[in-house]
Amino acid sequence: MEYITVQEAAKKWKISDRLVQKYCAEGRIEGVRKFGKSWGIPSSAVKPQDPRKEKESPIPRLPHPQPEAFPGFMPLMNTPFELGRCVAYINEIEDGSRREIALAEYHYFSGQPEKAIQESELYLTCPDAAYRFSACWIYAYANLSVGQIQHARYALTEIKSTLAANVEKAPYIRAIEAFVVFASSVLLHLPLPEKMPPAQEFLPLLPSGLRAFALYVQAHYLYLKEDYGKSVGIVEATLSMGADRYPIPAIYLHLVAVMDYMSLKQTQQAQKHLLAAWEIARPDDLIEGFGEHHGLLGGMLEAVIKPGWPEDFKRIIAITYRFSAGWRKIHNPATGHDVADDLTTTEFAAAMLAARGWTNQEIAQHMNISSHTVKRYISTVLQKLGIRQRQELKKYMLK
Amino acid sequence: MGKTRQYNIEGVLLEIPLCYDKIAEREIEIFPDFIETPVYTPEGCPVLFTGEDACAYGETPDGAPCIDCGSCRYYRQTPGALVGVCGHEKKRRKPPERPNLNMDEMKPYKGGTQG
Ligand code: SF4
Repeated sequence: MEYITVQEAAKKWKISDRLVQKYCAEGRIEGVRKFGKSWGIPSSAVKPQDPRKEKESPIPRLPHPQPEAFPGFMPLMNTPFELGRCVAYINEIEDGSRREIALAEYHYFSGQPEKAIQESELYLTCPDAAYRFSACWIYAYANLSVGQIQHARYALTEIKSTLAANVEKAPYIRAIEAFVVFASSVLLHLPLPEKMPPAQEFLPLLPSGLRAFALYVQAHYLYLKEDYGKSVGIVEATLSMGADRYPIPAIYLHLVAVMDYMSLKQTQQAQKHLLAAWEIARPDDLIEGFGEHHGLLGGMLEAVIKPGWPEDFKRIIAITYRFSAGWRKIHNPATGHDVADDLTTTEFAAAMLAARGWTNQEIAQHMNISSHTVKRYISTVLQKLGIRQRQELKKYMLK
Repeated sequence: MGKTRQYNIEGVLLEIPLCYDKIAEREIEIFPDFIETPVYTPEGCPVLFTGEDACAYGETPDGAPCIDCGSCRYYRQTPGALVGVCGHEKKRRKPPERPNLNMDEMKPYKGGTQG
């Protein structure tokens, strides 16, 4: 990203240097960063409104997110780094905690959980809440990926107990906590904790990148409630409001859109979003999300990624097997059954679509296979699950 | 010839090949495609996989959309099997002139082409 100085911004916006400094300190300029003692203002930043005019506004304003209050929390997720320059961006970060957390994030999102565990472990008890929460998040998910469930549980419990603690905290810290707890509950399909604040309370306090990811979580939540229209509405709105500048949230937003559109049987839209996610992920190899969401993408990876990028597809599927084994151990589905433990990813994809009422012909067309092959997958799935009819598939499949 | 499992589906003997599945660590039945290679009972009713796409005559008992044979009210699924028989009149093949109902003389149907 290109930055301009306070003086340059003052000249551009025709206001005094002091006012620009004030806006920076109040966190009223999107994406502003501190370099040593001076502020760097994104060259694309919009001039904030005059506070005197704002006072006249009849609409009560929520405190604006302060990016500087979050430097340590998931820095990569909260950065609009240039595609293909993710590692270069991390290398540019000054040596220290922020850089190490960013590196752990990168290793996690690029499907290297062992490295992510090593790097995040050091920060699990860090007194700085932002680093500690980032570490717990990365550590929990990376451990899920390698099947170390006890470690994942430990990190998740740690997060929840901090949220439950009745300690006076800055609103921004509470917002981070709520965000992390919300995300881990929704993404692991676990019940939301009782003390969970409503999303509208913490969402506005998050800086843009984190807010975009939180909105992905919100969309995922609606998807699980089978409210696909609303879910995809959130995704499209979030992306159109600039979230696509943040590669990590953008990948996940596009993926949830694929899930929604597949549920709505709008395969062309789903494909468009999958390719959009892939274009963002590929230059930096941020493939973890594809593997984790495989079961919900309704055979889209088989239909689109497998023919075009067979080697990447194999790596994604390896992530799927790794992650889903751990996920199933921690997940407690309503039926009490282990969800489709013995299925291959292709069998799972075909069964997911069948469970949603797709015909064999439709599945065959979508997955570029013959109808006979689809039936073979379905019959294998029925046998492995010990059920007699495909109608019963629904209770075994992910929502 | 590998392992097979035999079913008597309303008078037609099916021999279904089994294939060992490494993930599930068990034998899985590999059904033939009964649409491509139809099999009929001595009464002329088609034998079908429960997950076969419903045809235009399919109806569910409760009036819900009929997706597959397994949910169709004309389908009689063989206990313990993923195959059954469609009892819809329109799907019935004209019965052979002299149906052979003697099971001992019936030749088993060698199901499937997948070895
Ligand atoms: S059981 Fe018969 S009538 Fe019913 S859907 Fe299948 S083929 Fe059609």
